[in-house]
Amino acid sequence: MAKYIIKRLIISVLTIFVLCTVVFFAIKSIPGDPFSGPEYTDEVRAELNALYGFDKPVVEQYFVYMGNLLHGELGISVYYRGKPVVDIIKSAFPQSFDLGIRALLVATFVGVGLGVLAALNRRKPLDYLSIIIAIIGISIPSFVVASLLQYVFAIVFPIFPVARYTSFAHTILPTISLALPTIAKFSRFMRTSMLEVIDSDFVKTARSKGLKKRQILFSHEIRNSLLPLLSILGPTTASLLMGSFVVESIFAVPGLGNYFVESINTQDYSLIMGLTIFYGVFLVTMNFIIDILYGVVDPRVRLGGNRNG
Amino acid sequence: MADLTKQELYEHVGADTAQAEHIAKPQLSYARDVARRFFSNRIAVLSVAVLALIAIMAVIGPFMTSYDYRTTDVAAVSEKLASEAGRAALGPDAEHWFGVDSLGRDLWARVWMGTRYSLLIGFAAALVQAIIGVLIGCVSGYFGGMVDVIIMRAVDIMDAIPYLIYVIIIMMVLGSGFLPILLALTLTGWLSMARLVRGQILALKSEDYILAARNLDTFPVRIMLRHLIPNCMGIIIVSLSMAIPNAIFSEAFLSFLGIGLSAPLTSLGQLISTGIQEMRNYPYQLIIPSAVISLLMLSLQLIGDGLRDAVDPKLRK
Amino acid sequence: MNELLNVEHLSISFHTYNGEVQAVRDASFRLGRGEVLAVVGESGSGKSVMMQTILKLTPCELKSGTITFDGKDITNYTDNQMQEIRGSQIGIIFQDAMTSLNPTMKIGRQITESLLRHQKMSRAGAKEQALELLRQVGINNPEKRFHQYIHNLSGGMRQRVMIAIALACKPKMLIADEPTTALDVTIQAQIMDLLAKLREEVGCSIVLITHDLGVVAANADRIAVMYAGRVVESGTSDQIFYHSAHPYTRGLLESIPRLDAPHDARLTYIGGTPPDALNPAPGCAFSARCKYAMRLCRMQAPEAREVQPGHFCSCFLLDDAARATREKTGWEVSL
Repeated sequence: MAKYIIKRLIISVLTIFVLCTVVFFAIKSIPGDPFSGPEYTDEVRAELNALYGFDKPVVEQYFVYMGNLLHGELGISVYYRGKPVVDIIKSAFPQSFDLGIRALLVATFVGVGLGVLAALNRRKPLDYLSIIIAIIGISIPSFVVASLLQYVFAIVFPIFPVARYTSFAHTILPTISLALPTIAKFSRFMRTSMLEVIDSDFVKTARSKGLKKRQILFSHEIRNSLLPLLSILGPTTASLLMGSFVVESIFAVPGLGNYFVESINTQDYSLIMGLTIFYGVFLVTMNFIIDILYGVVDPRVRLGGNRNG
Repeated sequence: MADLTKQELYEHVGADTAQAEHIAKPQLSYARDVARRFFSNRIAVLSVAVLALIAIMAVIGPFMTSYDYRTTDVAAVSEKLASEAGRAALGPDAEHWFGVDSLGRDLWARVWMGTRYSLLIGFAAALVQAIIGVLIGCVSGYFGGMVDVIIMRAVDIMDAIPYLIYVIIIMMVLGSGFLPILLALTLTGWLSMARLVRGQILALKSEDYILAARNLDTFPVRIMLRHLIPNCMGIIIVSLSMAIPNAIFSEAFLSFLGIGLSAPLTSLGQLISTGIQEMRNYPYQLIIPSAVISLLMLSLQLIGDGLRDAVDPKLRK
Repeated sequence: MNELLNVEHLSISFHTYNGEVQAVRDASFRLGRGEVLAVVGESGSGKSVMMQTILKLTPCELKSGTITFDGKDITNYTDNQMQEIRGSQIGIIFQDAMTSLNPTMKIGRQITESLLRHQKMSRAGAKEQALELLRQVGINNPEKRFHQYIHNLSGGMRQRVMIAIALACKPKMLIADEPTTALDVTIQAQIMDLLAKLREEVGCSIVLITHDLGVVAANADRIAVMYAGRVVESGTSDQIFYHSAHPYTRGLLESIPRLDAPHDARLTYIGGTPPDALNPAPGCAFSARCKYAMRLCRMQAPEAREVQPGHFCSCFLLDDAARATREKTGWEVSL
């Protein structure tokens, strides 16, 4: 187990390092000058460049940036003049986190429930209903879902507030929009996983012991089909993150996603770089935790076998 | 039976070799078997029809109306916007079948033109991704050792971050446009295919016939082309069919962020993100392209599902 | 009623994409108390399906026939009713312990599950009992194994765990479905010995499903030979091995490779393949492969007849009218 953790840890650190390096040089190679607007005089521009350290050679900037990174500094926003990127992240992260957790919880309960019900009612109406929900959830882009929900439930029928993120009512539409693709993914995954387990030999053994149906359902079938769900939790976190770009900017949630989209439009390179690295560290850490967790609950992973069999 | 005497009934006839060796099911080649199963899936066939219809409209749609998708008519729009009645008349009518956008461009022509570019990006990106993925996966799986370790580590590292973030950064470096999108999508989209092909090749590599071919000193490229890739074709095609909607999605996402195709060109994603801004007053501008992209996604997704079911040997009966 | 299990005229079918498959047709057999019955046949002959359907473990449909277990007619028992019998009165061992045990559940819990379900026992009591069972099936260091997963065990050990689970509640009948097929030959013997030992200790009857006549010869009291869903012959071990009356049984016995055969002798086999279960031809299922077949065999399926007390065989060659064919082909039955 210790060996497994150390191996994962090394890979994670390496990943973050590579990511930071690639992102840094990519951003530096973007053509154009952040202070190229007509409002800047040459003098002001030179001053700003010196202030942000943009006048130094790129390699030197890189070492400075990486050094700052180790102290938890991500530079200063170009658009929000003088505001450290870390402060922006600190102020925006709670909203994004809150929205993400809500969406993940909703998606897990609804998605897993739907998948289990579908598998238990194979080839019956409930199964087809869950398949239809899953296919729709996967087929309709999240920004279409989000804007249609906003149009129908906030504009045509003003049941919920149109935008912002200040009360429980404000959270409902963004949560649904963000959760829908994940509900679809989870229910499909869970359905397949359950069907596989239901047909498996060890469930037959459980039945041959005379166990009650409920007992088999909970301690063998659901338990065993939930485990592989952990393996897609990493990609799910990532896709919730990407979804948050869309949902946050449509519902004007002052979260990271909203800032990210904004920073693309305002060409705030410091903010883009900072956010990208923050996302990278966040996801790599999440994946690390998930991997360890998986190793704990599924004894097969620790032994270096593959996850499915 | 009544016609036969007891003696005849008990007459020795021996084993019926023809009957005993008879194999009931006709043997189909793998490809024909897959095709048969795919086409017996009504939903998949329907999806192919829908996709074909959308594709045909993407080709001929823009020519069906006399309006060009690029020509703006701001004067007409502002004239209409001036009056209450005129505002309602912006929507679909006999002149402009899908209405016009805020710059007075004909939406029918734009929607089908956008569909054309979305499809082009989807298919081209998926195809190039697949080729890169298969090549890298093959090399990694076949040669193994250090090559494999390095390639797979690189894949792991890239995979730790959603590829869309890389795509966004690449798009910012390259600037928006058709080729940059294609390049960005192909640079990042081959990971899953490479991993899939590698896994399949690792499994195949220990099969006896591959060992036999290797022992005969057959040239590696020959083994790959003759034995390995044909045996991976099933999953390659399935994965390819899933990559197409993904690429279309990604392009739409980039358009939403404002870094998709650049000005005169348009795509469904571009139309939708414009539509979102006009949603309050002119919902048709959002609903029409949304409906087309959803239908397109739905059919591609269902075709992918159909292919997967047709290829998956576990479902063979 | 002395028999533990009495199956009469059992027909079972299941539905596939291509139509209905008659997996078992008109099968009859008996299992005495304390007896070992071997059900022998090639793969696909319906032996596993038959036994598992008797336990209601398959989704197959019971078309006709009666099943009496321990004096009770369990033919139309619902799945819920069967739950009370499965595990407590009938245990089953499957072929592949690797897939038949839950990979993510500790070994101990997989054993206690059954005990807690059927016997009024505390958790501690169940654990104590499970440890004892592990000891009984020959697993060293049971306290450690109790908390391990099946991945930590070898193939033979897994099968021992499987046996411990099946015998946990001291059932009256144990179904061993190809218990040694997935194991190495040396381990096979150990497992069969263990089964024989436990049978004495627990005092249960065993239905041994196998295609391995070597295993049968050493262990079975009675044998039922199945072909294409039918029990074509059944009787005591002696009757089947030394006085077989069915050409298929004879063919099976002759195809056992012999060590004392001349080194250049060819292996004997039965020509042809089993019939298509989807569209069975009329008549005796074996007739297409039977070199003694008569015209009648292609038209009608033979009824089982008792050729000796307890020895049943379904074959027209036993009829008096078949004498001409018997003489012509040299078919002899020594009863």
